[in-house]
Formats: sequence, C-alpha cells, structure tokens
Amino acid sequence: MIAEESAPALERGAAWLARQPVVPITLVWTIGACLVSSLSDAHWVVTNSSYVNAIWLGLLCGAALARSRFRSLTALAYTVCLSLLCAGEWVGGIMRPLWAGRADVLWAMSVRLEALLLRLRSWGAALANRSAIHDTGLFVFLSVFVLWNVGVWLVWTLARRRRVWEGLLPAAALLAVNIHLSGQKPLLLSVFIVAGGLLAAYVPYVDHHADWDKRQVDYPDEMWIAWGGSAAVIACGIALVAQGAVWVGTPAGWHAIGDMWISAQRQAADVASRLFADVSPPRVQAPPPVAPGSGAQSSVPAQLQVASAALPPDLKLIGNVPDQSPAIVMWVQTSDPAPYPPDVADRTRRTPPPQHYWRTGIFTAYNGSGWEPLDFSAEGETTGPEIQPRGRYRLLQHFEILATHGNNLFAANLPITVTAGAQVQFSRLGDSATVAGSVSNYQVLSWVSLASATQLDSAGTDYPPEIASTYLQLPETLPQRVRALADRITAAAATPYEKAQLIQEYLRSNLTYTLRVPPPPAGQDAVDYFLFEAPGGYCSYYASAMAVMLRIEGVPARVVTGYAMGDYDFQRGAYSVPGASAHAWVEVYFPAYGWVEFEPTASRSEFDRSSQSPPVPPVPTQALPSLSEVKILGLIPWGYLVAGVGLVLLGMSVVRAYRGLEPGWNTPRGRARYLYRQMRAGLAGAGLHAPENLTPDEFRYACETPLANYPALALALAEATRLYVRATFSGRAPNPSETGHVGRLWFRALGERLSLWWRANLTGVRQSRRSPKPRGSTRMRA
Amino acid sequence: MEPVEDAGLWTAVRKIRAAVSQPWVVRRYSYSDRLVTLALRQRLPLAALAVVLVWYLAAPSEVTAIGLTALGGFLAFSFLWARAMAQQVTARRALHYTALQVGDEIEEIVTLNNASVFPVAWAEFRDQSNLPGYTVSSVRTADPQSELTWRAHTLCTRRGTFTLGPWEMRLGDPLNIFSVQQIYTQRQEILIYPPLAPLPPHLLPHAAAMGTHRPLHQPVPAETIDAITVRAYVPGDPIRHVHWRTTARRQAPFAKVFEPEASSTVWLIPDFDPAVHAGSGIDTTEEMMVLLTASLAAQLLKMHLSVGLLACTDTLKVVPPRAGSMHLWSVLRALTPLHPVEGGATLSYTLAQARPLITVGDLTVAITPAVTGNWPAALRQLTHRGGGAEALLIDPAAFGGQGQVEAARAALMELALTANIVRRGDLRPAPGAYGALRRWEFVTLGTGRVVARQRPREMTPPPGAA
Repeated sequence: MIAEESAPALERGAAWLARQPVVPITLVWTIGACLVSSLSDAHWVVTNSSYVNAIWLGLLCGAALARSRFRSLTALAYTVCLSLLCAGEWVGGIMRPLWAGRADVLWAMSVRLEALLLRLRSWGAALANRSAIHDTGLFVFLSVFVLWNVGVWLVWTLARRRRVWEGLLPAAALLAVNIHLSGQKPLLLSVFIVAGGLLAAYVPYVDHHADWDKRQVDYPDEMWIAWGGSAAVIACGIALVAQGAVWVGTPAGWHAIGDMWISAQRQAADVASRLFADVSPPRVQAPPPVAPGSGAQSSVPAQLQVASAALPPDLKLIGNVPDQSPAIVMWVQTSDPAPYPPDVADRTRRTPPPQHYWRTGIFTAYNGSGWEPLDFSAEGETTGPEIQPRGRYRLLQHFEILATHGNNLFAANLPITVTAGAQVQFSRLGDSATVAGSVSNYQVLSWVSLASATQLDSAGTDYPPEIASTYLQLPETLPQRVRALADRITAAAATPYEKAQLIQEYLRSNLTYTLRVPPPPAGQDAVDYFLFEAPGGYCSYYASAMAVMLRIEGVPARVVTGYAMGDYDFQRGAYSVPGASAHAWVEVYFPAYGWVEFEPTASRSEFDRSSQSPPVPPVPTQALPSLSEVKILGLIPWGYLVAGVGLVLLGMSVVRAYRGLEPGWNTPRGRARYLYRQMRAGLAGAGLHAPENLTPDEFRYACETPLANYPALALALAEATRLYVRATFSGRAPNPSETGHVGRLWFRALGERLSLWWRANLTGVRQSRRSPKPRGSTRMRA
Repeated sequence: MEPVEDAGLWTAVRKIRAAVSQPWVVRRYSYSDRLVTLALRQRLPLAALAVVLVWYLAAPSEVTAIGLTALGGFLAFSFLWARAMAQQVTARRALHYTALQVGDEIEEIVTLNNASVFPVAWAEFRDQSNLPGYTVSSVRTADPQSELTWRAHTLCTRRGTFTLGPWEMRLGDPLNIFSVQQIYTQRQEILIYPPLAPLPPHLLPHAAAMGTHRPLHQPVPAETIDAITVRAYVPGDPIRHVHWRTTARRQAPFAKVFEPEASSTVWLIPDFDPAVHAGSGIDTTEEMMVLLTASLAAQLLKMHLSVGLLACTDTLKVVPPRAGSMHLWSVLRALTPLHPVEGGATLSYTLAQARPLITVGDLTVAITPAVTGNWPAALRQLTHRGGGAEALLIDPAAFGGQGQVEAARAALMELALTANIVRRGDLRPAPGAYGALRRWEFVTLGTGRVVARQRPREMTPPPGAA
C-alpha cells in the first residue's frame, strides 16, 4: 500500500527533477565552489574567511532575480542594495543577537549598528586622510559586495541574458587574480575552465532547442551526445593543455627547459673533455672585466632569473633591512632525506631532517656599528672528507642560483670540495671555508654539525689561541650595560654551551622581532641600541647581540650571513629559497666540534639539538641527480602521457585489426584488398572521396588530375588498383612479391600523402577545386 | 536644440551597439553552388584574450599562461571547427519527380555530407520554398567523415507555380563562438497541376444549338489548306498559321482561320472575377471551376476535339485551340497559375475579349459561379457567327456564396443558351489521374518497333517565366 502511494510521489519527484536545469545548476555550483575554495585557501583575512560564502547568496539572489519580472536596471539596483546590506551584516553582525536568543536584542542590535557606522566613518576618514586602515572589516565588506554581485551577474547573464561569456569572465578574473596573488596551484582554474566550457556549450544548446521548438523545426533527440561530448572533450582537452602551458609558458617552465639545456651542455662538455683531453679550446678574446658582485658574471640566462639578485644581509653597517622579496633566489638539493609533508609530520611526530643554513659571508671583528668580513686571501688547510670530525657528517648540496650573484657562493657550514667552476676558499686559521666562483649551478660537499647538546656541553673551553684572539675581539667603546646584561643572563651558566643557550633564549624571548626599527643613532653602539632602546630588531641585530654577549662571556662567536634553509618543494625534491630567507645568524666555536650554528632571531625556529646524538644521515656516495632532471621528471604527467600513448596505440591497433579482419586477410589476395582499402581511406582523409557507383578504375581516372603533382602517390594508387581488381575479379591471385611491391610504393609515397593531407585539411585547398568532386557517398565498398 | 543632439547621440549609440551586436564576418567562401560565411558570434572571448595576452606579456605567470591557453584554445578550436564546417560540410537536395498534380506526394532527397574530422553538432536547414506545407527545414547531426541522407515529402494540396529554394544551412561549433551560414542560391520552380475528375455525361457539351443533341463534329486529324478568313494573331498561334500578306499589309500579325467543317473547336472560358467567387482554403468555387475546366479539357481532348482556353485575370491568357492529348499540358500549364486578382476582369469583359477569336462553328463554354450580371448577353453574342455557347454554372450557395443558380440558369435558357449546374460534390478529383506523368509507357508498333508513348516529364518553366 505504501509502495502504491509512494510510486506517484516518486514519479512526481522524478518528473520535477527532470524539469529542473540540473546541468547548469551543477556547473554554476562548480564555478562557485572553485571561487569559494580558492578564496578560503588564500586566507586574506586570517580571523574569518566565511565571507567567501557570500557568493552562494549572490547565486541564489541572481536566480531569484532572473526568474522575476525585474528589468536590468531594477535588478541592478536591487542587488546592489542587497549586497550592501549583506556586506554590512557580515562585517557588523547586527542581526546576530537575534540568533543568539538574547533578551536585550534590540539594544544589542542598536549597539552593533552604531559600531558599524563608527567603523564606516573611520574608513571614510582614513580614506580622506590617506592613512592606513588596519581594520580588516573594510576588506570583508568589499569582498562580500564583490562576491555577491559576481554571483548575481553570473546567474543573471546565464538565465536572463543568455550570454555565457559575459557571466563567466568576471568570475574567471576574480579567480585568476586570487590564485595569482595568493600563489596557489592553478588546479582550480582548470576545473573552472572545464565547467565554464561546458556551460558555454550548454546555453547555446538550450537556446537553439528553444528556437527550434518555437519555430517547430524538427531536430534529433540524441543531438546532445555529439554536442555535449564534443564540448566535454574540448573543455577537458584545453584544460589539460593549459596545465601543460604552465611548463612552456612561464619563467619556471623556461627555467626547467634552460636547465635541461645547461645539463646537456655540461654532459657534452664532460664527454668532450674526456674524449679530447689534450685538445685546447681556441683562444678567444677575453670579455671585459666585470666588477665583482655586479651580477653580470652569472652564467644563468637572463630569462631564467626569478629574483633580481641574491642579497644576503650586509653587516658592515648594522641597520640595513634584509631582503624580503618572495621571489626565488635559488634551489638547493641536499643528500639529507626529504622532510615529511607537514600533515604527515604532524600526524606521525616524525623527526624532521637536520636544519641547515646556506652561508656566504663570515664576519669577525665588531666595531660598534658593524662587522668586518673574514679575510680569505690566504689559503689554509682543513680536514679532508676522509676523516670525519667529531659531531659532524658529510652533506652534499646542489645549488642552483637563479638570481644574479657575486663571486661568493653558498655552502652549509664547512665546505670541503666543490664541482668545477667554483673553488673552496679556506681561512688563514683553517677553521672556516667558503665557496667562491661565478657559476650558478654547482655541487658542494660540506662537513655540517650534528653534535648533540650533551656533546657541546662537554666540549670545554680549550680554545686555540688564534681562535680566541680573533673571535673574542670586542671594541673598547662597548657600553658597560651590555656587559652587565650579558653577565646577568649567564650568571647561572657553567659551560659555554649553557651560556650560548641562555643568551639565545633571552634574545628570542624578550626582544621583539620587527623590520620597522629606526637605524641606530650615530655614535651609539648598535648592540646597545638594540638591547635597551630599540622597539625591536631583525636578524642582524639579534645575531650581533648574541655574538657580542658571548664574546663578553669569553666564548668565541661570530656572525655569519647567507640564506635560511627555505621551503621544501616536494615536486622538485629541493628547497626553494626565496629572497625573504636572507638571514644573519651566529656560529659559536666549540673545541673539537668547530663552529656550530645558533639561531637567536625570534622569527625563526632554533636548531634542534637533542641530548643524545641523532642518527647520522646516510653518507652521500654519488652525485645528486641534476635538478633539471628532477624537475622535468616531476613536471611531466607521466601517468597521463603513458595512458594517452597507450590509448592511441590501442585505438590504432583496433582500427587496423578491424580493417584487416576479413576472410583470407593474410593471403596475398586479402593483402591486396587490404592495401587498396587502406589507400582509399588515406585518400578519403585527404579529401578524395568517391561514390559507390564508381569502379576502382574510374576512381583512379578521377584521381589523375588531383594527383598530377603527386606522382609517387598516383603510381601507388594505380598499382594498388590493378592488384585489387585482379585479386577481386580475376582468378589469378597476386603473389606476395606483388603485394610487397605495392606496399613499398605506398610507403614511399608517405611524403606526398602528408603533403596532400596537409593541403586538404590544414591549408584549406580542397582537391575538389582542382577537379570536380564526384558527388555521392563517401565510401565505396572495396 | 539639445534634445536633437541627444537624439543624434542616442542614435549613434544605437547604431554602434547594433553594429557591435552583429556577427563579425571573418571569411567568405564562394563555391559554384553556395555562398559560405564564417562569422564570429562571440567577441567577448577575443577581447578577453587580448587583455590576458597583455597581462601575460607584462607578467608571465602560471595563471596568465593558463588563461591565455584556455581562451586561445577555445577560440582556436572553435575556429578550426567552424572552418571545417564551412569548407567540408555540404548539402544537396534532389527532387524525385518533377511533374505533380494536386494529390501527389512531392518528394526530395536531402543529403548532408561531412568530409571533415569534426562531427556536425548541428546543421539547421532553412528552406524558403513557398509550396504550402512543404519544407526541408530541420536540424540534423552527422558523424565525421560520413554522409546522411533523408527524404522530405508532403502531399500537394494546392495547384500553382511554386518555388523550391533558395535555402540555407546553418552550422557552428559546440561553444557557439563562430557560426557558419551556407546559402544555396539555386531555386527550382515546380508546377502542380490541378486535379482531374471524371465528368458526368450531361456536363459535356453536345451541340452547337439548342435542341440538337447530336454529338459535336469530329475534327479531321490535320488542318485543311482552305483558310476562310483571318483574325488578329494571339500568342500561341502556330507560326505557320500566320497570314503573311495580311500581316504585311496591316503591319500587324494576323492568323488564318480554317474552314469550319474541317475542325470542331471548343473554347473554355473560366471566370476569374474575384467578386463572384466564394469559399475558403481549397474548398472554393475557384478550385471547383479550375477542376471543371481541366477535367473538361481532358475529356474533350480525349474525344479528339480541339480545345482552347481563354481566361482573363489581370492579363489576358489565351491558349489557341489544338487537338491531341499533348495539348492538355498546354492548357493545364496555362490554367495552373491563374488566380483571381483584385480589380480583375469580369466575365462579360472576358467574353468580349474572346469575340475576335471565335470563328464559325466554335463552341464556347463559360464556366462561372456568377449568377448575376450581364455576362449571359455577352455569351449570347458569341453565337452570332454561327457558333454555339454553353454555360456551366457552379452553385455558389454550396460554398457559402450568395445567389440563386437556378434563376441564372433560367435566364440563360431564356437566351437560348444551354446551362448546366454543378454543385458541390458533383465532381470528385481522381487521385493519380496524372500517373502517366511519372512513368514510361511504351507501345509496340506493327513493325515490331517499340516507341515511348509517355515519358516522365522534366520540369520546364511555364512559357514566359524565364
């Protein structure tokens, strides 16, 4: 009984559903979801990102307006007013007391309304005064207004004006700008392209049907198969091609291609140097000398540069704000294991790989306003890679510097060897080394510290005299209060490591990190200014303060500059180091352990040193793969490529098998027929069709004029026709050598076939213009 | 003055808007049988592409590369698709039978050929044929490299001269960015002859005078050489009937009139005065009159009589009397396109125009639904030269008209003219009466030679239509 009663309801429901425009609703919903997802992930406003849902309200409002009798101007006024009200509610929350069930609803709402008006007034005043507006409410207000109206416009243009592109383009522009500014992956843009393309096909499809219905023109019901299928293939194909365009149409893609070229050049050079070891290249005129650090020495092509220049902090004068550019300066690949993705690391609590900094400058003497760089003019000695120092392991790094740079290259801690084009420079004391050279792509092997806190704590104070004399230097003008503060901080410390830890902790905890700090007044010590007077500071101040206070306490320390580790790019398998990673930090000397990094800057995480020695990462046994290889391998959608090629091959096989399947196809007679059919199909593809009433010889005669300029093709056709006629109508079957001969003729005519096909299909030159095309069916039963 | 300027400004804005909203013709192709226009319907993607291109050139990024590729891809794909539709999709239509009568089925074979690698998502045929109830307008789809053939047909319900074509085919890409219009300019005129009906014997003319119920004279197979007089030449007269001496003397063409005993001629004079006809659609006195005229001509020709036709609409239409079955087509071809026109001639005027053509012994048959007027007197005057005259009166009351047909008949009889009344339902068209038109008929002569007696008629335009 229930089933009997529910059946009509189900039928009515199905009929109602069938009447609804499910397809456009789904596509519009997809477009809205793309916008919401992209804007939510952008986190323009950290505190609240629910404002992006205004687009749903806009879509609903647009649907209602499209169904109303409103004209365009009325609808425009209506939606503008509604969107302003909605934006005000979103920002001011005037109606929220209603939902909260408070007793004093009216009072609460009036207070909220007044607060909103005050905010509006303050925004106006700020705009008039051209002062900064720190209230994110203005952004939310405008965002809600824009999103609402984009949604309304999308639905209005689709449902009322029936102009798809007008509705899609504002939404597409909004999505594109958001993705561009927030640096998101453009996957959502591809989804939008697919949905938009389908929508662009759906609306004219419906419009044509309505027009045909109105004019009572008969049309086939199954038309949507060809139409929708074609639109889907076009939209998906273009979305895929657009994803591929990222590779060939962006600086990053050009960079990958350039890497491939450079890698090939290097391999060719290696092979050439191996094969022609004793052959000297011809002398060429040397280029004019270029000033060091001008960037012109870079071998990186100009179009591959992402950041303009590599600009590590300059500590010769403390007070220069470090580079904050998000542009990529370099890619660094290491022999350490790759870090886990953030979600995996959070879930599994796995230990991240050791943290490293990419050092380029070492500073020794502090003069109260800045630091003097270490002199590498005299070559010294260092520990070779065969003997492992205490608390260290070998780290192989592959640098690929995109920005222009000077002669000083980058390396972690203590570089030992470097690939051709660069060299390791050792300090006079032999305790430090840096890498110099003009190359932008090099590999370097370094000893990096892996000493645990226990090991460093027990390192002692047996400093070499040269180290102590160099790295305990302090200016005489250093204010006393700095010394007093250092003493007070380290009063409880018994070992140099404890002192370093306490000073680092003090700086990280008690001083504010900010880039908006005025430079030190003339004549005032920079460290004193930072510790006692400045509103805060950045890495140069932090590092200088720690190094000075450690020297006060008798611990050798120095300030070094370079770049922080950067963010790991899982696609490339390398660290992407932006300009904003420019950094200054502290290295403290521990007897037998050498220079160990410390991080006093509050904005960066400190080095993790457990009490026990962490496991030593595997020693690199071979050179790292080229970054270009990694990038290209990562960028190419191998799965799709292989699947696509496989599908094409499978389809070709099926077609060939279908064409070849006939009784006796493997006999010379069948082979002759197959060859002829293949030839006819190829000629039909080039525009040479024939009706069924033409005999093979008549067809050959008809083709003589169109094939006048294609003698090889005409010969192949003539021979294939002769053989086919004989195989079909004569009792004398062709022999294998004859069919082989025709096959070879057909193969030799490949060039002319391609030329004919090209002229017929791509240049628009129809064969029928040169000779009247036989009218009739396209196929002839061969 | 300002409102005028405003009006001018608004007019200019409207003109610009109208010009912008028109599809932008990208290319035109001219073929022997068709004109093809490829037009850009959606200009917004092109404008957006230009903007994204500028953005891309200024700051290449992933987003701009994707946007550029997507917009360029959509435009390029749509253009290639539409170009293939313009160049490699053709259509043709072939008329199966070219000789038709009311009641026949007109049939055309329409073929859509797609030689491109793209499927035809939609191909809309727009036919401007004016044959009532007939069109090949429809929408079709076709697979790549395929040909689609279908049959368009309808029943011919109206006699007349009609035109098939011109017609056009509209195509486009699935995204509707480009549109293709193929205009096939050729047109084909077809004649749909009026139907025929078997006539009851009492409707056939019998005698040249009242009271003599003998059959009409049987004509000799050919004209004699004895011409008794001349008359003014009318179009349709054989050239050999021209009397050159009189023509030279009077500086106007004159035709010979042969000896009355040698031929027996019936003139059929239908009345195309719009004021006397009644009815609507195809159920009118006019169609009844045409049916009666055509059937009468067929019957009389079958009786080996010479039959002539004289009708006057806005112009005078004369088919000189001739014998033989083939002459039926001349009569029908002249009769088929005739319709009453506003301000057309009355029957009295038409009969007056016939007077110079009537010779001794000719029988005049007036066919009319007119029950009033002075046309009986005009008809009576045609008998003064020794000929006969009859009237076939179509009852207008049966078609919603007014007038007493019996009174008209009485008036005619008072003038010693024979009159028969034809009422609605008296004549029933015989379907397929022209079936011979569509097939070959052969006869075997006594010598054993086989000759074609009837062959399928090809369409020929009516005289003077070219």
